[in-house]
Amino acid sequence: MPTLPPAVSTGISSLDAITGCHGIPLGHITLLSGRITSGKATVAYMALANAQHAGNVAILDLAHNCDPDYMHGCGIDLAHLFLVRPNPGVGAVDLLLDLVRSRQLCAIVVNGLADLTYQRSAYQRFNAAVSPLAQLLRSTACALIFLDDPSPIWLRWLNWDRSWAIRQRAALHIEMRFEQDLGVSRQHTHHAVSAHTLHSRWPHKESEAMVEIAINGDILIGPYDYSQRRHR
Amino acid sequence: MSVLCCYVPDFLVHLAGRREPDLASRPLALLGPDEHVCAASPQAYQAGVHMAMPARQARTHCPGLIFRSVDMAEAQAEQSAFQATLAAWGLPVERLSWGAAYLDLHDVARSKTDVQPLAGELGRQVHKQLGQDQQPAIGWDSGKFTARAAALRSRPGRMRLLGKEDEVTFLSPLPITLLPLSHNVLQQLHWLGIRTLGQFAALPAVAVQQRFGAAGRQAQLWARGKDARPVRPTVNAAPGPITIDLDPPTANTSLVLAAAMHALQPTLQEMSAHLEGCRRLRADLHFLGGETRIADMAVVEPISQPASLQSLLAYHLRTLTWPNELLRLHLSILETGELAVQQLALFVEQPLEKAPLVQMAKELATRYGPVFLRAEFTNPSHPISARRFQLHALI
Repeated sequence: MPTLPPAVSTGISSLDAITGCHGIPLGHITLLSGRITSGKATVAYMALANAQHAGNVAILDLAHNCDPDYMHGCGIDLAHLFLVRPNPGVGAVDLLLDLVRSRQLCAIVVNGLADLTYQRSAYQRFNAAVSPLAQLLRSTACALIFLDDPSPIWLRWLNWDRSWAIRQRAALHIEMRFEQDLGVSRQHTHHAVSAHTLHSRWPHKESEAMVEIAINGDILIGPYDYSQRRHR
Repeated sequence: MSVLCCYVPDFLVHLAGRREPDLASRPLALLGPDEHVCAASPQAYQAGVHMAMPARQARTHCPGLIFRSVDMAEAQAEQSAFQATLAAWGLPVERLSWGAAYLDLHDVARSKTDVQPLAGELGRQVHKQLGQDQQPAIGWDSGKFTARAAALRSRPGRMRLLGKEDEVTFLSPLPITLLPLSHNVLQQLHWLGIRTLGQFAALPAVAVQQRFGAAGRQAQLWARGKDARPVRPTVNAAPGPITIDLDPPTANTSLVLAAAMHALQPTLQEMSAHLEGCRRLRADLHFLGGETRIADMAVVEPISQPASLQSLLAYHLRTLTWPNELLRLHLSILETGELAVQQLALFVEQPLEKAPLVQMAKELATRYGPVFLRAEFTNPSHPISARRFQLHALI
């Protein structure tokens, strides 16, 4: 049985249970994929908030859409957050390598993978840098979390999608799927999402967890009664 | 109980310094037979070199690091002289590590006022025996762990005597790295935000037992100042010899090694649970035709990890001349000892600061431009989320 790596909890016990290593593994690449509003950013922010107890954290915000107010709601201490907003391109890949190499950070979130690799030159640079990056992470014990939109399944089968390289090297790949809106008295207050472990380097008994995400960033954990709470 | 711990800081480093005076005030690491760091000078510790670190890794932490091998014969002779000085008082002495030992004062002195003159006299004698460059630090308490922590916390040439009522106050702010836990356990505790003995002691005992096993529970008791272990004679009571009959006889080292490790596994687990390790191991090999060979193995610091013991055993078995197929193997653990702590960080880690981040941002900004930002809430009650904060350039 492989040795469990040190991990940062996501703060959601059901989600930690399906990763096989009790959270987001340190020293490895984690891929969180999911469509918009699927909760992948929320999970990443929760992990960052927990990682802040151990060290400094950074967000490489390539999409330029990280909301500090929401991060604060998820528990991140903004005074100790390193928010980096480079322009997408080859420089962003080099910057990511430099951030990991600095050994000052214990967790980095890359938002998002598509913005990092949409330029051809950046994509090629990134593919070449993935292996050194994985080795570097192991020596620095830094958790690297990529946020990504899911590629069409036929592209994945043919390995034509741009997240192919990172999928191959990721120790943990979780896909978040939006399930339905929830609310009370016809007012939308939550939405339910399900997290699926598509790949984990560590054995895990279950591969699916249900999570409720409130609009203000609070996270509730199932089980819950759909029939009582759904409003449409 | 009344336990006195006498600790000579940088014992092995000073011995190396005697041979080569040029090494003084330079980063120095002493390597054991397995090419791992077994002692390092204060300059090397400051650069991030730890005990049990491979030489290559130590070099990456400290590029100017000088490596020397431990002269085991000289170190053993000096250690014997050190222990003989302590044993001259006719009290039970237990070896802790190089240049460190426990002395049982149970029948002689039980209060601070009684211990103080004794400790002073002992310190003077040890200093006289070991020479000008080696000053002992002395700690005293009712338990071994707290006495050791007190000795580590004292400066060379000083003593720290603790009463029962001072234990918790003294232990609480000390770093968790004083406990001889494995690197994995320490790292997990670090990520959980547990940095001091006080924080570790405050954890629920059940949770500690569940997550870190018997060794974790034992360590937590020590962190709470509860250590009822008696001071034992220098050669600790070791488990009885293990006999392995090989049927059919074999000359395959790997098979022998696997059988030996399988037989040693329960003993190692038991030792590990008590935070103890093997310091000396003897293997008697009986070959077909009646010939025998003996391999005596000694390690610099006690080990309880199966992988470390396996590599030690493998090295000796492979360098031995095998006249015939091996018929029987006797393994005897001759000496055990308390596991050594991996890093003697004597000061509580400082809280996280932004300074290193700002420095890093300054360095990276020269290449990537002003891409590093800091979010600051300017109007937290604004109804529009995006107007509650502003982003400022960090540099």
